[in-house]
Amino acid sequence: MTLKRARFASTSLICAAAIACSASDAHAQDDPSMFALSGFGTFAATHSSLSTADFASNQFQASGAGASRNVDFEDDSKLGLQLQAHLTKKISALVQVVAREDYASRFRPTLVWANINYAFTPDFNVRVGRVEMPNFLAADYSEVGYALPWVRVPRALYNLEPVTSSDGIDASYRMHFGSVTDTIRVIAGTTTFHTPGPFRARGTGVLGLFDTIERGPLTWRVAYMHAHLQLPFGPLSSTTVYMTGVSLDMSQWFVQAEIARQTATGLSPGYIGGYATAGVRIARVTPYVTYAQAHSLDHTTAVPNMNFGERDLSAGVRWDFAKNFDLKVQYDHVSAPANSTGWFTNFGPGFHLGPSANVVTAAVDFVF
Amino acid sequence: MHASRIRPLRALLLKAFFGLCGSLCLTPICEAHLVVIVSHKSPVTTMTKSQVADIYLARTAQLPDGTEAIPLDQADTGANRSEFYEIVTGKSPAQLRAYWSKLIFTGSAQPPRVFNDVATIKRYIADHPNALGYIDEQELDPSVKAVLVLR
Repeated sequence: MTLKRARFASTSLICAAAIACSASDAHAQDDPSMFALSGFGTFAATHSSLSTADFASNQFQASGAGASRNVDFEDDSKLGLQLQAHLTKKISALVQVVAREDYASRFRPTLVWANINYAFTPDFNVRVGRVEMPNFLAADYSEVGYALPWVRVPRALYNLEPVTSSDGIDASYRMHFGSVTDTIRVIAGTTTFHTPGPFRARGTGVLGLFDTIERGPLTWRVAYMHAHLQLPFGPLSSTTVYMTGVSLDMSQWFVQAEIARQTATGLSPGYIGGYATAGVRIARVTPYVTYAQAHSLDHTTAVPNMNFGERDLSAGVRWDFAKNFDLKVQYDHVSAPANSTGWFTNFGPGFHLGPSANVVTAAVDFVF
Repeated sequence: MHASRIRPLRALLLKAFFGLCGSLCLTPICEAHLVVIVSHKSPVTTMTKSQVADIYLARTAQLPDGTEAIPLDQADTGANRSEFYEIVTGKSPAQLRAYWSKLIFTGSAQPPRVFNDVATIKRYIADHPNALGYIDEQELDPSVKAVLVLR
């Protein structure tokens, strides 16, 4: 029954996407219109072999595949809509809404970003509102499956700082040195987010500094982020993330690696996390492998936290089977050290520390 | 038996002849190259591959003379578009669509405007000194000028 319903949902999503595609192609001519409506989505089925806990694709999800469901259609599925308005030559506005499984296991839309941009020059932009935080290379488009080589961002790194938006102000300045482009971005604001359960957390004094260097197929980012975190219980925590990541995107192959150090006083033991991934492009098919690991810094915590890291070894293949569509199949071997829960959730009877799971995911991504 | 032995040889000779002709490219029957064009009114006389790539990948918004660039694309059903991007950016059509979804869904940039036929592209570029496009070498006329030949 669930499977049937899910199939129907996927078919209608794909139909909607196809209609939207042809519609946008038809008026992609002449003067650029003031409004641009675009969207993205992923329909995925996720299976985890561990039956005593859930494998959740994102730390903010309350459930996942494994203990709660043998095959979970909501773990990696999402649907996003974006409206961008070019109000004048210098002023534009952006609103993005993404529906995905939330902290209470509901498939709900969230206002991800909503901001107004003022372009002082094409290379100097200031935005006010809810803006994205590019803490990691793919953090600001981690929901857009079609833009990712994998089924999901490597969680041993991306779960270290899963908040992707800040309410406040953001300024970016782009410089050109011959064929090198260097973009510096500064973010200041506050953020509110839900962790699984009835917990609403607040981040204040968010300050982010990001420097991205691009030259031909090479992208290199260095980032720093600091914020004060207030959970409904526990102390005021000071959280800091340092990150660097590099990506080389050639026509026949790609490699990408990122590493970060995260601390959150009193809440997290602190981690050094990172991953390396590589893929080969053979016509429309792109097989890839990824190794990701989060290593605990063993800081003492005021609230119980038994996650002392995780290792993920993944292999998968992406098939660009049609324009604006891809199909991915990915296998992950997820394991945690003997004293750790890893990022598993919903621990049931019989759960032991140091779990391991084989996760298989099939996903169709689309953009329109 | 005899004929089938001759045929590969003849094909090879033909290939060698046209291959030579292609590399010298002295006559109009030779395969034409794509050229990057600007208006005949534009002060820009030459551009490098990486300057063109940066504009088409939205990494810069400026032409070498400092004015704001308006890049134009051909229809994505045509062979010219994929050849252009292959040579200039080294990216396949699928790779480019993934690249653009990163930029679109972070609000960073919108892809170049698409014109379905070459006549419209040339007319638009002729009228806009800061527009640029790419066409077949054979489609050049005095209203536009080539600033880069793509080989």
